[in-house]
Amino acid sequence: MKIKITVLLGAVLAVLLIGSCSLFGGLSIEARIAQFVSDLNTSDRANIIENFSADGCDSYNLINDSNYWNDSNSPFDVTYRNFAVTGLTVSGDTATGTLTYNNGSNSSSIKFVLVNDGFIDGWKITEIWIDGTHQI
Amino acid sequence: MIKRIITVLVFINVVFGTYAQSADIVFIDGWVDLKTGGEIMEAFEGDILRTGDSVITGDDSYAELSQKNLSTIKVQPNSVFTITEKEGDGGKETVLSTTVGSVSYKFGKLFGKEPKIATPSTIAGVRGTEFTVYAAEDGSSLVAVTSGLVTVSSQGKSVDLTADEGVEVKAGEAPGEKFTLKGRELDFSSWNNEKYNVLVSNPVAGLKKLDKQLDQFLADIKDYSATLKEMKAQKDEFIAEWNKLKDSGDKDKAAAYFDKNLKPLDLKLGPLYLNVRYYSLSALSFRRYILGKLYVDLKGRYFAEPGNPVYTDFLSAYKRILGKFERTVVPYLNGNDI
Repeated sequence: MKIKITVLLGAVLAVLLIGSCSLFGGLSIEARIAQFVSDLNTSDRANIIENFSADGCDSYNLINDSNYWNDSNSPFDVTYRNFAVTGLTVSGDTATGTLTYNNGSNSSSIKFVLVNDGFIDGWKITEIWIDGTHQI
Repeated sequence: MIKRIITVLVFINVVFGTYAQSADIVFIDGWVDLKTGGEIMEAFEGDILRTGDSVITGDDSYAELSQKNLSTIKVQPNSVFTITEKEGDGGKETVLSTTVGSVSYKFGKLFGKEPKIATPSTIAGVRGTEFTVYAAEDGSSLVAVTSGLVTVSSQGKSVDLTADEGVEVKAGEAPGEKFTLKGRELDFSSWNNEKYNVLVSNPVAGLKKLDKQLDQFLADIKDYSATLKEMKAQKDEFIAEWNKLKDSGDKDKAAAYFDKNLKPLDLKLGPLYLNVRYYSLSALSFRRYILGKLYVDLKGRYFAEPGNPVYTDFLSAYKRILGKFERTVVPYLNGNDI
């Protein structure tokens, strides 16, 4: 009997532990955008798609493509240097700011729309607008 | 009287409208597959269908989808329904596509841009109406209207459909004569079987029609990729000039040059590239569900006589089409797509 109770308590504790980890595992909007920018600045952008919501991003299948990210097919041209987002303002599921690149020499307005993909993943990107044009 | 107009443009590429970006699966009968992110899994009620995702029904299965409780989409047995997306003049545009099978739509009153409906041979814009699209395995399409008005155009010819009217568009042809539904529901299975039997009775001739269908996708890919190539060549020139300015040490001049030349080009380049991807994925879907199915079927039918001239001629034509597909479409696909 004691063994059963111990096993049961152990299982409950494990569930609570996993649950509490999940609660704090997801990225906030600010952290997600920071991760996206960090991935933009890596030489191999293989993981950048992880910043987008597979369910929420309408362009997900289209941008799940290394040629889009690792070539010169978009404003996120892989040869441009030092992407950064400054002056980020978050309102609900939308974040706006300034995208700077080429070591701060150039800049564009940028708007992210995000969705909360759950406790584990947290916020993920669904749309990106640059200078008022819908890019993703 | 509320004016309801639907325009169906057959074999003509038009600007797609935006309306639906996702659909909830609200009812499932039997085993239904959900293809998402390169994986196929069983679909369940409550699943959300997003752009690029497909619902695939089998012999005895059925799925019903709802969009923001304003419209209903009924995916009948043996159908492949996909939500796709492309870039139009007004921004991102979602297209509801029936690659094969029968899908009924009932749209409520909507605000904003009109939704678009596609089959391998048709594109339709709809508003506040009820109709069914049938896409046969030989590339033919059939539109049957329950309420509203439909204008079907193909090869320069248009046919207006009102309530209880329908029209068939054979692969690569103008719309046929319209017919009256008289309240009866069309038997998609019989119609499709009849079409498919004709197709396999002369597979080489059938393949030519399918080839023509595929050519529509390839033409779009070629058009967009040609523009993409031109823009990238121009970008290379701009980059070279920009690098010269940077090397000269005049940072302000280089930054100004970038803002004036490269930035506006980049903003167009991204959506253009994604458009090429859109048509490439559409062509892949056509190859997978129509051409591929025909190939597998004929391989089985001629298993005992692989040297039969009908089969060898078919194989020869099929390989030629695959070659064209490999050259034009595959460069824009990746492992996630396949």
